[in-house]
Parts: sequence; structure tokens; C-alpha cells
Amino acid sequence: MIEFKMPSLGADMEDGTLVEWRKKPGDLINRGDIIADVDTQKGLIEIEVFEEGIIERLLLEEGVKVPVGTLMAVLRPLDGETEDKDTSSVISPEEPEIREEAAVKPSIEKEERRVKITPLAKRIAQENKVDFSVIEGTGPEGAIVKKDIEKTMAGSAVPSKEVVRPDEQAKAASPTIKKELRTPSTKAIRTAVAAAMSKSNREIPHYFLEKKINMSNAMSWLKEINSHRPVQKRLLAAALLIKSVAASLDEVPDLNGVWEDELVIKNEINIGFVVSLRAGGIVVPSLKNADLKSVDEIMEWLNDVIPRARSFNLRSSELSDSTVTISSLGEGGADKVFGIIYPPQVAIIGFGNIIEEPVAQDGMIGIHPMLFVTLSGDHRATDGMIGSRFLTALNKHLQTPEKLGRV
Amino acid sequence: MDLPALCMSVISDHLKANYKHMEEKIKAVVYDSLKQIAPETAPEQLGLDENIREALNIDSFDALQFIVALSEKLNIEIPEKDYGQTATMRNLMAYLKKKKQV
Repeated sequence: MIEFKMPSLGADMEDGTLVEWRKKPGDLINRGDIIADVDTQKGLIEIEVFEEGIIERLLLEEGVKVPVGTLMAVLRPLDGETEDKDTSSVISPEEPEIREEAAVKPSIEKEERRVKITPLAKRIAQENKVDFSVIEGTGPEGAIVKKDIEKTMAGSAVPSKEVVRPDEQAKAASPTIKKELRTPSTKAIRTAVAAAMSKSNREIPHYFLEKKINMSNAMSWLKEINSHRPVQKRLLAAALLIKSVAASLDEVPDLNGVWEDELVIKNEINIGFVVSLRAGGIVVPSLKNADLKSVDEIMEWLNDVIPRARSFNLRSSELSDSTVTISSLGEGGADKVFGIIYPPQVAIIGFGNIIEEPVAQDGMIGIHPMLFVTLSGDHRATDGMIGSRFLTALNKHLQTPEKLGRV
Repeated sequence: MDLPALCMSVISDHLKANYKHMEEKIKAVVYDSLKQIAPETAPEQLGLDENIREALNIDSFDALQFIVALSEKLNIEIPEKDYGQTATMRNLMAYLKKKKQV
């Protein structure tokens, strides 16, 4: 039997509320399928399963809040293990329903091809049984966005309210509750950040290093690449910086890991990238296997994940398993950022402003774009020497951007 | 007169006649795009010489999204070397009007 438990989506998560099961007993689960929606301090998150099997039992009722690690469902593995005789009788009555669902799906997909709609908007539309094929989109290239669906829902809700019976009213109310859950309050995010950062400051003895890196080569390389590209395909400096961090961690792996009473170095380099929210607070999506991704792939990831992070539309796997974090302020802001480590990680890299400065080089003074990079390290796990080696490697990689761009 | 040239002249007459209309349209696209990135702000209240990014607190990523939105909605090419001409409403409007040949 496979046990499915309330997952932890970061050191700051203590519990989660099951909002909705997406699967029912007898359903086949494939790797990566979404099994449930769970409300956390970071908003409504789609929870994925990374094992295959058939749902045996759902042990939690919708609307219940449970601590991380609570058993939520039991899955039967596909290969063998048929000891539970009851299961075959559980599945058979469900079979017609499964077939019915399969028959409905193709028609939905046909509809999707004709109408341009964002995944989030589509989901809200489907959840609330809104026929989006008749809605005029206001998003890019006429795409239907969340706002359009909500407007339609608000419009249709007004006249229908007068005629609904009490039990229908209760039913109609549930999507509204879900919508409110989707966007966590600023206070909830603040509480989540506060919990993680207090834990970090309480438990992790930080050391801080700083290096100024000459970005002339990197900026010229980006400029050259971008001059040949349409605006949708252009690279931000952040994509190259993430790539350079991944390459440097390959050389100095001690900073890529977690502290579990001792340093546990991780093989995978999963980079958490801090996305700040306009209303305050942060969300930290994780770029898996960053060292194996090209600069273009990293940029595509940023284009995809930043808007979704800001609209609280990330999946559980996209928020977990980071092995290191990058906080990048971007151009025009403060010069330097000294980060607080996100436990149980052991390092955070801070990219500040890129500004032109006079630089003495070979007895000459030139004007160069300079980037302020900082490293906060967990002194229990590593010493300043390791951190210094990392920043030196980072500098080396950023001097040869064409090599980083080749991978 | 061949057909493409005739079309061009018709379009150009049309544009001249709608000079004010076009300027308003561009401005609406700019405000609309900024609103989409920074929904809680009031871009209409931006001063002509105010730095747009600083005033509305727009980061590098959203700044790129803004340029993407402008180039798609107005159907123009905005090369990276021209980003400097998009910093304030005065510069941006002048730049976009030049691009749309208003």
C-alpha cells in the first residue's frame, strides 16, 4: 500500500486544509497527477502524487485542516499486492463512471482548441460551470483571463440569486469560498514568512560574504543575443545569473544541501527563486535540476512561473525540494541584499543592482557595469572559505557567458 | 496608382485625420498594460517626467512584460537598445507615436 500524506511545502508549513479531492476511490493515479487542492498559508495549492496506483480509500473529508504528515489517502500499487480482497468490488461499480468521464473529455478538448483561455481561467470556469466559449477575452491576443470569468460569474450571479432555492444557494456558495481561499491574505503570507525567517534567525548562525563582479562580458553577451530576438524571446540577466549559480554549485557542492544535524549535500541542484508580491510577502518557486537547464530554458521557466507565483497558481512540486535559494532584486533597486537562509537549506545568494562604476584594471581606469553579489552561509554547515570559493567560481563563470549559454 | 500605393495613401490620410484619436488610443494601451502589471496603481496620474518603473514599483521582469504587451498590442518592434526611451510618459509617448508614425 502507498500512503499519501499531507505534504510539507517548506519549513514554514505546519498544516493544510483539504479543500477538494480531485480523485475518488477506484481512480487510477499516474505519476504527477493532481490528487487534491490544499489550502495553505501560501494559497490554494494543487497537490501532486509521484507514485502510481489506484485509490483505495480517501481518509480525509473536504474542509478538514490537518498537520503536515497526516495520512490522507491510501493507494494500491499497480504491480501485485492484491491482498485486500474488498478492493476489486470497490472498483467495479465505479467502472461505468470512469467510462463516462472518458467519453466526456474529448468534447472538452475540442472546445479548448477553438477558444484561447489561460489555464487558471479555464479551471475557474469549469469549476463554476461557466461556458467560456461565449466569453470575449480581454487578455493578450484576446485570451480569456481569470478576470473575464469572474466578471461573467458576477454578472450571472445577480439575477439568478433571486430564484435559487436554499439548497442550491448553499451549492452556489462553495465556488465563492474556494475563490477566496485561492488568494491568501497578506496577513497569512506575512505569518508564513515570519515563521520561516524567525526559525532561521533562531537556529542558523549566518556568515555573510560579498563580491563585486564585473558584468561587462555578461551584459554585452545578453545585448548581442537580445538584439537578434523578438521581445517575447529576450533574456533577462536573471536567467544568466541563475545558470551561473547552478554551474558554480556544481564546483562547490557544499552549499547545495540541507542541514539535518549535519550537512547533507544534495545531488540535484534545485534553485528556489524568490518572487516578491506587489502587496508584500514572497513566494519561492523551485527550479528543478537547474544545472541541466539551458539559459533559454531558465528564461522560459521564469516567464511561466513568475506570473503564476504572483497569482498563487503553483503546484506542490513547484514549491518544494529547493536545495538553495536566490534572491535577486533586479536593476534599479538597492545595491546589495544580504539574505536570510530558508531552512533547512544552508545558503542563500543575493543579487543586487547592476550599476556602472569606475574600475581600476591593469593600471587603467574604465567604466564597467558592476554587480553586487552576496552569499549568506550556514556556519554549522560550511565556513567562509567555502563561501569564498563559491563567489570566485561565480565570478569566473560570469566572465565567460558564452560558455554558460552553450549548455 | 498600383494597389499597395493606393492603400498606403488611404491609410496615411486616415491616420492624419485620426491623429488625436490615435494618440488617445496609444495612451489607453499604455495605461491598460501598466494596469495589468500593477493593478493597484493609477497610471493615469503619472507625471509626464516621472520615472514609470520607480513610480509604480515595477521590477525587471514586469518591465519586460510591459514592453512585450506594448509591442504586441501596438504591433511594433521595440529593440532592447530603445528601452531607455520608455522610461517616462513623455519619452514613451513620443517614442510610440514615432513608431506608429502618427
